[in-house]
Amino acid sequence: LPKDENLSFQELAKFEKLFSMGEKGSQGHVVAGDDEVETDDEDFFVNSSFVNTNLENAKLEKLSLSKQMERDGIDKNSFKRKFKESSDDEEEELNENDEVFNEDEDDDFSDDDDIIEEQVMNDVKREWKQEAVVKKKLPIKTHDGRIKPITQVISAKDYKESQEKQEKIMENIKEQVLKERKIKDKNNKKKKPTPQPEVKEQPKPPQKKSKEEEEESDESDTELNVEELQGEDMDDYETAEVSPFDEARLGELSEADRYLKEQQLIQSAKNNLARSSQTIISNPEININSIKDLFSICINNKNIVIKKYSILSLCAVFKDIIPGYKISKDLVDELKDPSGAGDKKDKQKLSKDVKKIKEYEKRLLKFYQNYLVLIENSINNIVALLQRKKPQGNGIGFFKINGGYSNNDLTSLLQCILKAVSTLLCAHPHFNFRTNLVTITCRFTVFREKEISMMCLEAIKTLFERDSTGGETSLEVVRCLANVAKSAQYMIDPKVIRVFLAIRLSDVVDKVNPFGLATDQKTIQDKKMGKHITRTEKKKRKEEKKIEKEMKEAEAEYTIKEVKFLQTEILKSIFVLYFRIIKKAPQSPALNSVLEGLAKFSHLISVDFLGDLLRVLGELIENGITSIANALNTNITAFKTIKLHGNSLNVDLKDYYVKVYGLLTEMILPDQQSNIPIALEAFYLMLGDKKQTAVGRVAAYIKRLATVSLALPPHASLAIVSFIKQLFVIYPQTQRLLEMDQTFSGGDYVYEAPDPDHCNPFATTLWELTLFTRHWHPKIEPIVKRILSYSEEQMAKQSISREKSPIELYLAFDNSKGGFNPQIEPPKEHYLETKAKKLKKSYKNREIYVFITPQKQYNKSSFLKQCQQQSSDKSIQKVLNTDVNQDGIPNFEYFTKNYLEYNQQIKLYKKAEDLKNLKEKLSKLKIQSQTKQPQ
Amino acid sequence: MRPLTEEESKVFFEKLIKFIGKNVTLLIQRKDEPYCFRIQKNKVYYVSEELMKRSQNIPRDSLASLGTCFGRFTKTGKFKLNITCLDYLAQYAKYKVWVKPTSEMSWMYGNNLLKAGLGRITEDTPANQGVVLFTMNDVPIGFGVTAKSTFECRKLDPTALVVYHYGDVGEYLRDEDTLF
Repeated sequence: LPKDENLSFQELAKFEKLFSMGEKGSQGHVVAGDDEVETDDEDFFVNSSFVNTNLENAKLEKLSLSKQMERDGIDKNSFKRKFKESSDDEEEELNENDEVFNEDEDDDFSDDDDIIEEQVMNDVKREWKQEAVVKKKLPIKTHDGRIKPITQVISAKDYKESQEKQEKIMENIKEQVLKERKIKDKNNKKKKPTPQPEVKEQPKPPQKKSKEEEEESDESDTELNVEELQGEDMDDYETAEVSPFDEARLGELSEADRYLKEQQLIQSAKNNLARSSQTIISNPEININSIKDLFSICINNKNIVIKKYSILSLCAVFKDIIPGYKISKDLVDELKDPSGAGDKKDKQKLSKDVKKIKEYEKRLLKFYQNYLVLIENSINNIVALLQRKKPQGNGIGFFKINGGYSNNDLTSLLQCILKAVSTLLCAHPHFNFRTNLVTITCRFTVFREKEISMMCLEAIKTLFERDSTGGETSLEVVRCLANVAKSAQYMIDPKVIRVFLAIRLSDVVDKVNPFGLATDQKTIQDKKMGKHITRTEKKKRKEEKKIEKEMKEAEAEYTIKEVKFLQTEILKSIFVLYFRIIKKAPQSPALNSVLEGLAKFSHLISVDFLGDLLRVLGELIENGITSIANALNTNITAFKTIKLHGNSLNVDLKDYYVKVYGLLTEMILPDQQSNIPIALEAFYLMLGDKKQTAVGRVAAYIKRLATVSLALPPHASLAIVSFIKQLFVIYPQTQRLLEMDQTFSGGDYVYEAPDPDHCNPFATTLWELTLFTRHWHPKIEPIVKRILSYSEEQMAKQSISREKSPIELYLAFDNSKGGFNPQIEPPKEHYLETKAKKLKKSYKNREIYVFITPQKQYNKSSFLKQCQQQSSDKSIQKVLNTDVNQDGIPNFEYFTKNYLEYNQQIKLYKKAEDLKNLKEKLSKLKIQSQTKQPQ
Repeated sequence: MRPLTEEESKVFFEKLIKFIGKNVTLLIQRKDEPYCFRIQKNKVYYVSEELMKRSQNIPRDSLASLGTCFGRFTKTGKFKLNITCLDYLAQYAKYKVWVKPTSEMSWMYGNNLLKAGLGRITEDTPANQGVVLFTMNDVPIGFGVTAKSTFECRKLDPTALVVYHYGDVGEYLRDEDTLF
C-alpha cells in the first residue's frame, strides 16, 4: 500500500489505476488523458490549510465558525478568489479553471492524512485526474486496512459543497460583522447532534448547519440577516450541487459507455441507499444520522433515477421510523429557538432515557422537516419549470434548476415526490407537519397529469377510509380541497368531489345546517358564564383548562364529543362546498358528483336548511339539469330530505316528477344504462310511498317505464318490470292499465307529453308486458305472467317483501360484464329423441332374430383358441386339426359318433337308475308291511 | 253563439292562465279533435268543432247550452269561472292542493281552506296563485286562490287560511238553478 511518503504522484497514479480495475463504480468520472492541471502554489496551499483547519475541527466534533473565520481571515485574497470562481462555476459549469480548482480541493480533503498533502506541495505539476485520485485513493488510504465504500466519494463531494458554503457564510458574516450572529451560530453548533467519529461524517456538519439556518428563516421571519444569508446560501448550494465532472466528461464518451456508466452508478447508489436504510431501520435511535447519507445521495447525484430512488427510500425510512404519536410542542419550539431551549433543557433534570428519547425525537423531527422542505421546494421548482417559468428562487430542492432535465424527467420526479408525500400522509396522519402534506396532496388532485392527480385522490380516499386521527386530518383535507376547488373556480374533475363519498361518518353526527351558527352559540354561552367569575377564579379556570388540555393530548384518544364535533365540521365544509358549486358554477363538470354526494348525505341536513336546499334544487331542476343521472340524484336528495323532515307539511314535488319523466327516455342510451340502480332508488322514493302521488301520474310513469324497459338489457328490464309490479300493488287503481276495455279514457294517450299529468295514460294499455312473455330471459317470463294473470286477492296474498326487490333482481342477474346470467341451460331434448329413448327401452324386451350367413373360410377366433388351450381333451384338437376336408370344412363325423354313443350310454344309465329306484321302493314297502304286521 | 272577441278572450285566458298556466294551449290544440271556445248569452263554452258546427243550426235564443261551460262574463266585463270547468282545470292544473278528508265537507260548503285541512301542496306554489283542490284520493273538488306560498305554509298555525274559496263541487247542489 502506498503509505510510503516518498512515492511520487506518477507512481501513485499507477497504483490507483490498478485499484480502479477492481472498482467499477468509480469509472463514472474517470477519463483517461484528461486535462493537465496547473495550480498556483500559494492558492493551493491556502486551500489545503483551510481544509486542514476544518478537519481538525471535525475531529473535535465541533465546528466554530468564528474560529474558522479567524483562520481564514489570514488570507482574504484567496477567499475572494474562491468566491469569484464559484460564482463563475454557477454560470458556466465547464469552466476549466473551476474544475481544476474543485479537483484540487477534492484531492485535499479526501486525504485526511497529511502524506498526500505534502506531496501536493512538492509537486507543482500534476498530470493526473483529480477526481480519479479521489475515488481510487479511498480504498488505499485507510490506516486500519479497511476498504472504504463508495459513499465516501460522495461524502467527499459533499464536503466540497459544504466547504464552499461555509466560505460564503463566513464572508457574509465578515461583511456584516455582527457579534450576535456569531453567538447564535455557536449555539447552533452546540445544539447540533454530534457527528459520528467516522471520517465519513466529518464533512457533514457545515452543510447541515446551513440547512438549519434555512429552516430557521423559513419558520421565523424575524431575522433579516438570516434571510439574506439564506439567499446566498442557496445560490451557493445550487452551484455546489453541480457535480463538475459529469457534464464535462460525459459528452466525450460514446453513447454506450455513458449508458453503462449510468447503470453502474445507479446500481451503486441503490446499494448505498439500501445499506443506509437498513442501518437506520435496524436501530433508528442510534443510527438516525444515517439519514444524512440518503439526503446526500439524493442531492449530489445528477441522475434523475437515483434521485427518485433516494426520495422513495427516504419516504420508506420515514414511514417506518416515525412514531405513533405526535412529537410534543416543546420540542418543536426548541427546534425553532435553540438557544433558549438549550438552557431550559439543562435546567430540567431529566432521566437519561428521557433525554435520549428527546434527543432522538428532535433529530428525527429535524430530518423530517428537512425532507419536507426539500419536497416543497422541489415541487415548486418543478411546477415552475413545467410552466416554462423561472422558478422563484426561494428554495433549494432535490435537483438543480438549470440542470437541463427534460419535462418527462421532471414529471416523473414530481410523481415520485407526490408518491412519497401521499404515502407519508396515509401512513402517519397524526405526525407533525401534517398540514404541509395535506396541502401538497390536495393541490395536486387537480393537476392536469391524470396519473398524478389520481394517485393523490387515491391517497385521500384511503385516508378518509381509515383516518386514525378521528377526523382531524379528514377535516383538514376537506377544507383544503374546498379551497383548491375554489381557486379552480369549481371547474374540476368530478372525481375530486366524489372522493368525499369515501368519508366514514359515524351515527353520532348532528344534523347539519351549513350556514348556521351552531358553533357560535357555544362561545356566547361561555361569555355569559364569564360574567359571574372573579379574576382569581378565572386564573384558576385557565390553569385547569390548561391541565385538561395537556391531559387530553397525553391520552391521544378521541372522545365521542370530539369525534362528533369533527365530523360535523367535516360535513359542514362538504355541504358548503356542494352549495357553492351548485350556486356559483352549475355548469361545472363536478355538478354530477356534487349531486351524488348530496344524495348520499342528504339525511344529515338539518330542517332549518331544508327550504334553502329545496329552492336551490328547484332552480337546478328548472334550468340546470340536462342529464338523467343528475336529475335522478337531485330527486333522491329532494325526496329523501322531504321524507325526513317534511312530515310537518306534505309537499308535492311536481317539477321533479316532470323533469325525470321527460328525461326517462334517455335511459335507453348505452352510456346512461349504468344509472338504473340510481333510477330504481329514485323511483322508489318518488312513487313507492303509498298514496303520495296521483294515480294518473303513477300510471304515466308505469307506461313510460314499460316502454323504456323494452330497450334495456334484460337484467334492467327485469328490475323495472318487477318495480312495475310493486307499483300495481301499491296503487291498485293503476291496474286499469292491464284491462282491455277502455271504459273511460277521455282522449288518446299522448306519448310525447312532457308532463306525466297530461299524457292520459288510462287511454292506453301495457302492451309491452305481453312482449316480455316471450322474452328469452328465463326470469322475466314468470314475473310478467304473474302480473298479467292478476287478481286482486292474489296480489294481496303475495306480499312484496317475500320476493326479491327490483334492485336485488338487477344485481342478481347483472350481465353487464358479458356472458349470460343465469347461465344458458342445455337445450331440452327434442321430442323425437325422447321417443327414440323410449323405443330403446322397449327393444330390450324384444326377441331378436339374428341371421347368420355361413362363411366359406373362417379362421379360428381367439375364443376358440382359448377353449382349445384350456380343454384337456386333446383329441378334439387333433380332430380339428387333422380331419379337415380338402374344402377346408372340418369333419364332424367323430362328434356325431361320440354323441350317439353318449346318448346310448345315458339311456342305459337311466334305465339302471329306474331299476334301482324300483328296488328301493320295493324294499321300503316290505319293511312297512313287516312293521305293520306285528301291530 | 259567437267566437270570443279579442277583449273578451284576453280577459278569459288571463283568468284561465292563472289556474293552468301554459297548458291553455293544450286545451285548444288537441290531438284527438279540434276544440274551441264559444260565447253564448255571456257564458263561455268549450266545444268540439263538430258539435259547434251542428249547433249552428239552432237559433241563438233557443240554444240553452252546449259543450262544457267554463264560466260567464259579468256585467262589468270580468270573467267568473264556473265549477263546471273543473274537469279540465284539474287535468291541466299547474298547482294542486290536496284536502284532508276531515275538511272536505267544509270546503264543499263554500268555506276557505285552513292549514289544518291542507293534506298536500305542490312544491313552490307562490301566494295568490290559482290552484285546483283534490281530495286525498285525487278527486277534484274545486278551485281557489292560495293565500300563502308553500314555503310560508310550513310554519303556519293550523287555523290560518291557506286557500281562498273560488268554486267547489257543492255548487252543483247549491246553485242548481242558476248553474246552467
